[in-house]
Amino acid sequence: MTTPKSVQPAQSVTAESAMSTEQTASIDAGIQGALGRKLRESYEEVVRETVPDKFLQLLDQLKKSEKDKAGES
Amino acid sequence: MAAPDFEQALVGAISHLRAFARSFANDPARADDLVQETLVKAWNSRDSFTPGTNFRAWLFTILRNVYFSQHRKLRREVDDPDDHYQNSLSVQPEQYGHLDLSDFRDALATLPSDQREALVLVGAEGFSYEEAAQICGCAVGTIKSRVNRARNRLVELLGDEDLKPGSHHEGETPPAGTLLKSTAR
Repeated sequence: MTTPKSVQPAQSVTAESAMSTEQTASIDAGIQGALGRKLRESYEEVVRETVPDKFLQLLDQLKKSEKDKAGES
Repeated sequence: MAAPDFEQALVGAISHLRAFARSFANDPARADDLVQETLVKAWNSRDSFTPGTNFRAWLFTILRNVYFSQHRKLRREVDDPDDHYQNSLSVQPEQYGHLDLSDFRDALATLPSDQREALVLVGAEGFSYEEAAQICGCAVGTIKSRVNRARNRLVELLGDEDLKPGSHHEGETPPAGTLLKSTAR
């Protein structure tokens, strides 16, 4: 980020001034990308959590009660 | 779908159901209760799933229905926990500095629930606008506008400087480009 940069192209200036006046204007692509990454990072953290045994036990229970019922009739 | 295939698909989707449930219920234990009830409902109505359609979308629709039917009951009984959650707004607009995941989650939590849901479905789960609309039982345009409003609100809450790649270092001289922008505030 230390390399000298030319002034931002006119396009992004337009996008920015539009955003301050109109809420629905589209967000700068870089910011939108960063937002998306944060969102996925936050979501994936929960997805990656180990699934507690109680869920698998519940499914076993459901299967078992179904089998029992089938056996009765 | 044959029972073993259905079971396998269901087990594979649990982690996603848990993550999606957290966008409704702040309390992880309450979110897990929601998932458990969803699993029971899904198992009992597995004949109604059309093979070849999106299984996860089907499950998410069930989870939503479970949530909203519980929520209506809860509302009558106790103080709405989600409203309390919304009020615990800790993120101030224009907050600068390092943005960590908990800051992001706090900001996400302050969004109206319909906007948060749309953003999670499209932005985190990767559903198309059409699929998200089907899950939520609303028009595609509604989903699009909710996602847009959610994004705009998050940028407002978090400050666009914080979201920019490479701008997470406090106390450093900002690169020339950002100086121009900060004077615009």
